[in-house]
Amino acid sequence: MVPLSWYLVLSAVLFTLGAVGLFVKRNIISIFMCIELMLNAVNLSLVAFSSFLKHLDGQLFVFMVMVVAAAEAGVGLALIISVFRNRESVDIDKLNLLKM
Amino acid sequence: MHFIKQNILTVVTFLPLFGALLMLLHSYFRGNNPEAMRRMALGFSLATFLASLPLIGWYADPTLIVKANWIGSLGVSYHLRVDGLSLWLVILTTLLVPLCVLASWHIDKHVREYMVFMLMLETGMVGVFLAMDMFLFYLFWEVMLVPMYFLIGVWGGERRIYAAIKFVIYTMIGSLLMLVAIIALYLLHGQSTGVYTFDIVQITENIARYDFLTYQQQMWMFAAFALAFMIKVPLFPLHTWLPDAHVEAPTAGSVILAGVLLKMGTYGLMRFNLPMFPEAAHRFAIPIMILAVIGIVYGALVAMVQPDLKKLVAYSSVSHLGFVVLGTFAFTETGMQGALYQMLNHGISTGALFLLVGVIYERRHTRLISEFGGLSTPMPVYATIFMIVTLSSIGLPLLNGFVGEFLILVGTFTSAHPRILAVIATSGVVLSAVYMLWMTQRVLFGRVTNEHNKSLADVTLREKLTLVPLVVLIIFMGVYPSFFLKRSAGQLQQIHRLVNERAVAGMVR
Amino acid sequence: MMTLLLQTSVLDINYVAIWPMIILSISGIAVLLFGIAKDPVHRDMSMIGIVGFVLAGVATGRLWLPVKTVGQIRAFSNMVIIDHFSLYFFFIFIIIGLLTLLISASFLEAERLPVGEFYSLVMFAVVGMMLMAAAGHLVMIFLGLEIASISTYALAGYRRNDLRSNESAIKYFVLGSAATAFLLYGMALIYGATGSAELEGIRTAIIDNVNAATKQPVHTELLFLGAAMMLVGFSFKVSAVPFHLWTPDVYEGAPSSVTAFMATASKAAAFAAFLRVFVFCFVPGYGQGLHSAWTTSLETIAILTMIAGNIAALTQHNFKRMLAYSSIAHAGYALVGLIADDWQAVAFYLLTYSITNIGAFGLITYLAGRGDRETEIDDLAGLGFNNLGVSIAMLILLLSLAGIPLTAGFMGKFIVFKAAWQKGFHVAVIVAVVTSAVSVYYYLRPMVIMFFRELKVEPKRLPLPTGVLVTVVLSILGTFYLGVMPGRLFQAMENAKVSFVQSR
Repeated sequence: MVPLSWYLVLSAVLFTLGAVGLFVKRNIISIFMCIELMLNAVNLSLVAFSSFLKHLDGQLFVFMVMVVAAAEAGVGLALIISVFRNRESVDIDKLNLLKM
Repeated sequence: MHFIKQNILTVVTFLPLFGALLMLLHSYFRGNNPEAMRRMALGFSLATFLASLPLIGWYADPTLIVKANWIGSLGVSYHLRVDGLSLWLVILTTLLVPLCVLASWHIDKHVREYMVFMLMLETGMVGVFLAMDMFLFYLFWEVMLVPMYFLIGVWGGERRIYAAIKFVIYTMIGSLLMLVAIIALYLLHGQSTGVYTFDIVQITENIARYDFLTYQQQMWMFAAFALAFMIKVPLFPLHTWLPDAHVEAPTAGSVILAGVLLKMGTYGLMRFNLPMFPEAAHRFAIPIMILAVIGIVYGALVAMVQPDLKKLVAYSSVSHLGFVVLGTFAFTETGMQGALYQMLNHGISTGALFLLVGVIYERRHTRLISEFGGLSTPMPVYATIFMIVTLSSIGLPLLNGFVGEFLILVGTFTSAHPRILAVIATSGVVLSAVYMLWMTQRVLFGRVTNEHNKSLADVTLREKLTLVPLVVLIIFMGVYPSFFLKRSAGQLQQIHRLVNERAVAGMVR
Repeated sequence: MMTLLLQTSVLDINYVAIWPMIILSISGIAVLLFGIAKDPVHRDMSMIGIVGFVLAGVATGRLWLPVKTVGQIRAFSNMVIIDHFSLYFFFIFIIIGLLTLLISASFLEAERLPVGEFYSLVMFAVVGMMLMAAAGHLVMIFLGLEIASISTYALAGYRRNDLRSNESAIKYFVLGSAATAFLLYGMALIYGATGSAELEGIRTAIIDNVNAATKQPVHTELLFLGAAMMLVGFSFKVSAVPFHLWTPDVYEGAPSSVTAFMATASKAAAFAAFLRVFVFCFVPGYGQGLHSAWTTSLETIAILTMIAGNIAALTQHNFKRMLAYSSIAHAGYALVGLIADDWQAVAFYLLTYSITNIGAFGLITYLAGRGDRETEIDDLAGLGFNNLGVSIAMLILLLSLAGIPLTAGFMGKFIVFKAAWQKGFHVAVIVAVVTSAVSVYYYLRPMVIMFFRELKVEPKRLPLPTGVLVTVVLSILGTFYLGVMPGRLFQAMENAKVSFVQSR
């Protein structure tokens, strides 16, 4: 049987990839996918824990995360579309009206 | 009579605020009429003054004490009380405010707001002196900043915004650290006695009785309180906000600032620092006295070279307040009495000086000494009053300034501290004679060199009304000091006892 | 395993406990449906919104006494915990939500933006916030947080054709989702370490040092890592330094009334969940050192937040941006209360801050005028004596934010400082005090511009809309009430019944 730590390491790697991507990617769609990657990395951890602890709350958690991620995708894509309509670009660097 | 006595302190404190509210209502329903606003402000401030006069007779009466629960779960109470220390400062405040209202009669920019702020300020100032609950004290202390900020910022001179902000930031830094000390004292007192209260009287008593503060704690709290008060005094080198604020403030603002606000610092030192943290007070006495002496000499020297009349008076304040601090930290009864007396003197003489400067500023719109000269010819009455006030400020015998400075110097000389401090401070007296007399000579005497000054009108009736009461007081306080001193003696003796007994005990320990 | 779940969990469905949420959800949907009508009547929809909030408030109030007698109401298998802590936060959210509706009515009308969706989004966000405050399980915190956040993302981008609003929404969305991901990862790790996702289970596991599922000792590394991740996530949500960078941009770009909502209710909700997890669950445990670890790191964060927030605010020229930095600084003060383990202090502080801020932002929505444009501080020049009512209101609210006595802001700071000093966080308190002295400078600047500068051009201002007027009046009354007579509220909070009593 694959030990728990393997799942956790994989999950951590995926999460880190997502987090790094969040800061290096310039295209909003890619950034958005990085966020999804982070959420799904957590899902992996949750499922692994759930199975290891023999406790169902983790799996329940995963369902909720999936639902929420879908809702988030709905709102997020809507925002991206409205930005694209106004600017004809989805490059995050061009969003610079509000000084950082 | 009982009813009156029970409520008189509340009335004296809040009558001005009530007046301010009535003025706002009046202007809302009857239209904003500047003349009516001035009259109402004068009426309410005079009424407050009259209401405060009975305190001279009743100050020791315990029925005067107001104490009511305010925020029970924190131990905050609405506690007002007058004693020998605060009595004269309250009277000084209530006296100066109507005079300031009179002196501001000519202001025609936003009269209603000006007068409302003036009355709010009065409530704040009286409240600071009467509050016997640290929370309440802090509240008045801070709230008072707001009207003063606006008085300087809206009705001030050229650089008013800078001066107003500097004034507020300086005061805030000091007072917020004081807030921390208040909280710490409250918690320490609560932890050791089981009673969580902000009551100043109770805490002072319990500190003397149970001695629950360690030396270290005393030092920190003394420093936090003293910083707030010394910024307010202002003690050298924390004085830099004062000349700016004085110069930019309108005449009445300067009078209030010099007459009352600075006294809140020295009052605080006597109310909190000496009786509550006696050992720390002894430990800090020499450094503070050295700063005070530096302030005395430095203020006098800088005043000497000022071309601007208001700045000259402002720096003379630094010098005079140095005397007050010196007398306070001499830890002798004579010194403290002198300090208290000097607070009143300074309030009256410097207040009068600012009013006098205001009189000629109104006529010539300049305060430069070089613009004047020979004013005694066109304005003889003005020159006479100016001379009396100057002499009082120098400390001529038979005028009030002499009594205060003399007591302070004697008190310092006979104290346990090095005598050299008193000796150097004495040079400040000489220096003050130099700069004041030199200034009067350049302003009042000699030939009229400037064409504009030839036809200057002498003081009007309204200006006389503002100045004469102060001149009368200057002479009265000079010839009959015991009228004032005997009423403050009891409280000062108690402070003297607290600060010395405990410190000696601490040394033995 | 399936049978285990069915056996252990009793499906205690208790609608009474969640009446406030149900009412708000229903009225949110009702407003949304009204909005579809061909020619929706603005007034009717405002009415539904107001009635919905008032009824939710009544429902919350009716729960107060039962909780007083039974201590707490748990519903849906410990998913929802109604105690005085949650009810207190319900009140904050309901008040803020209601006032947000009031200040946005005239703005929406002037901008010809759809009203129904806006109102329903606010209401759904409030429902999410309530779930956060009442959560008894990590998943509820997550769900509540997401309901609130997703609604707020949409609100921030509500002016679809405005580039700044778009930008604000995108930034908020990206960084908010990232923060959620961190928070979620933290939750997963804590779940793994303690063997429970119920808050009470986590608390017990930490106190007894026993994993609830495996009955072995709690896995320390996972626990600490999880707590750290949650700390990062919550720090994002309350905009604490160094996770605050999104705040000024988002606050500046979003419509002013939405900014008001984000700066007050969203922040309060994040703090509610923060308190639930950290103060009530990560208690001083059995040989874990978790408590001292998080308080120490949070102390540093609080100090940095107060310093950075206040200093950055000094140099701002845009009013909304300045208030954004001020809200960062205020988060720092609230964190000082949080490290002192004193939920009453934090909750009171958040109430004072929210009440004051909603009024200030209400005035900004009015002053910003057409297109929500005139939000530079210089735009206020000469307002002072010209429009005395508005400027005095602004003065009072800014003084409260600065923490001048007699106002709510002072009382809040006082309570927090007292709590933290009592617990020995002396450095944090002194930093807090010095930075609040500095903060006076930037709170005074609008006043300087308003009162001390002469008017350049005669402004054409519309009369104050009723909604804004009511909000500002309520906000000022609240400011003075909390500043002068907070005694009764303190008493109520002291007697409050809270589940998971702090182990002291």
